Amino acid sequence: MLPSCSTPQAPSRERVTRDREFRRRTRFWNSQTDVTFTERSEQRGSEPKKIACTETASVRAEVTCQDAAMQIAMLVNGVGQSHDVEARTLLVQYLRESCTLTGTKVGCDTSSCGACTVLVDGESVKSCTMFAAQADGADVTTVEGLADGPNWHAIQTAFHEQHGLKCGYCTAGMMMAAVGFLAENPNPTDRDVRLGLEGNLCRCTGYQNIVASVLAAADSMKLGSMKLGSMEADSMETGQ
Amino acid sequence: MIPASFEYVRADSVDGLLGALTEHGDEAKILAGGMSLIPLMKFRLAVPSVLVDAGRLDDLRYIRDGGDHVAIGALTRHRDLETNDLLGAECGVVRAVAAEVGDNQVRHRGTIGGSVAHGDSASDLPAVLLALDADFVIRGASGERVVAAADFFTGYFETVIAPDELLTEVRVPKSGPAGFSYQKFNRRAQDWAIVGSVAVRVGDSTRVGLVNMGPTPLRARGVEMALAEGASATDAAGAAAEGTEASADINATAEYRGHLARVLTRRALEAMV
Repeated sequence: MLPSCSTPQAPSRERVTRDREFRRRTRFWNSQTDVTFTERSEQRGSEPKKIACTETASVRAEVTCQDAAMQIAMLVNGVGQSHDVEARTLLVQYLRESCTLTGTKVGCDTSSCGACTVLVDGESVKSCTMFAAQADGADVTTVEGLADGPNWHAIQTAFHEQHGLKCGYCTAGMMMAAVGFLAENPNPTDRDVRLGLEGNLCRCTGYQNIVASVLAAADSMKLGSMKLGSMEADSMETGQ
Repeated sequence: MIPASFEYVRADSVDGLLGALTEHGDEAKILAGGMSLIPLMKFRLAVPSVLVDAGRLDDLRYIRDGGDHVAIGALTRHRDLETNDLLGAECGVVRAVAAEVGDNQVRHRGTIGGSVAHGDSASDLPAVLLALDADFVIRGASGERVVAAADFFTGYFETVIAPDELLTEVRVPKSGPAGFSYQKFNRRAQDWAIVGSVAVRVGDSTRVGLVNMGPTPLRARGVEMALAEGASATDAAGAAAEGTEASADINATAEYRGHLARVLTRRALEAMV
């Protein structure tokens, strides 16, 4: 029979602690009133337990900490991740809340804006429109996985140098979409880039500098691979 | 936004999937790429209690030469379609229109079977498949049946697929690499068509399909007949809105949709090469 995943499992102690922390933080983020209330409670030294949280916060908390229904595992930025989640957990929610990788943003939450774009097995997807369970066993890359230690990815350098952002909210998704696109089309024209990024919205820059960034990244990635190629050729010639 | 709770079942074979459908009946919904279903679930317009994930049935992800047609597995993604050379050579219009669906991210996940089975008349590919007289292969516990595109779409988001059946293959008659044009009108690049019109030459005849001009994808029969009788593109396109039942929404009134159908059809006929 099919692998069915409806048996609830008790969340681990570590997980319960993390979820409690998440709920606390969610209240901070969701409502100014809650922030004040929480701060006041903290000043008094009491646990901010009984704050009426916003609907969003309560729904989210319920999703992340209760009714864990299935275990999923995936490689995220080269690191193995495994968590108990409800089947309805969206990939973006999983990445942000279970993996605590908050570089991926939720923008429109309706598959329009692309702020939540990540790579799944090398292809760009909108992680707000994919269940985490669908990525079970996949190789996922988020914006946190772009840089190689202190060395920025070419797309990051290009966005920095070409002023490819203003407020920065769309940037993670924009860069991930661009990386996925450049892997499919390493020699794009201006128009190719605009079409390639049609799934990503930016409300600040007017796209000009974003397109310039992606074109610059394409050039520097080509240069990089040419250098790598000539190094390989050199080493072949010298027999090293 | 978070969908209502559901039980998740991952199918590892077509038979397994059909078994799950038989077991859960119309409580279950098949998840392919999820590009239409997941947004509906997030808005809670769709609230299936069981979600059967067909996403890993790689047996249904193929594009093959079937002799007089190209056979496309239902789980073939739009990205596969828009980059496939066989499809480009034998059914160029399908490859070209697949590249117009949504955006890159959507095309990486969305499947032709999902698009067809969802039965949304605003989707790009169903109107093309209707214009080409494609056949749809549907499998159920009791066996397989083949339904012509003309008989397949029955109403808003409704097709002839029964709750315990799975669309497995789309068979597209060969129409060649060229001789088509798809005109899609929308406000943002990634949006659904407010109206779309596809013109494609098949043998000696010209077929015209309409997107979002009624509850189902439609053929502009009036235009096709006028062309067969030798009318010019401009004159024939005047009949594009005949017999349609366009709806009104935030993007367009029914009257404006009729206007768009005529204009886009004329452009498609003129641009058809």
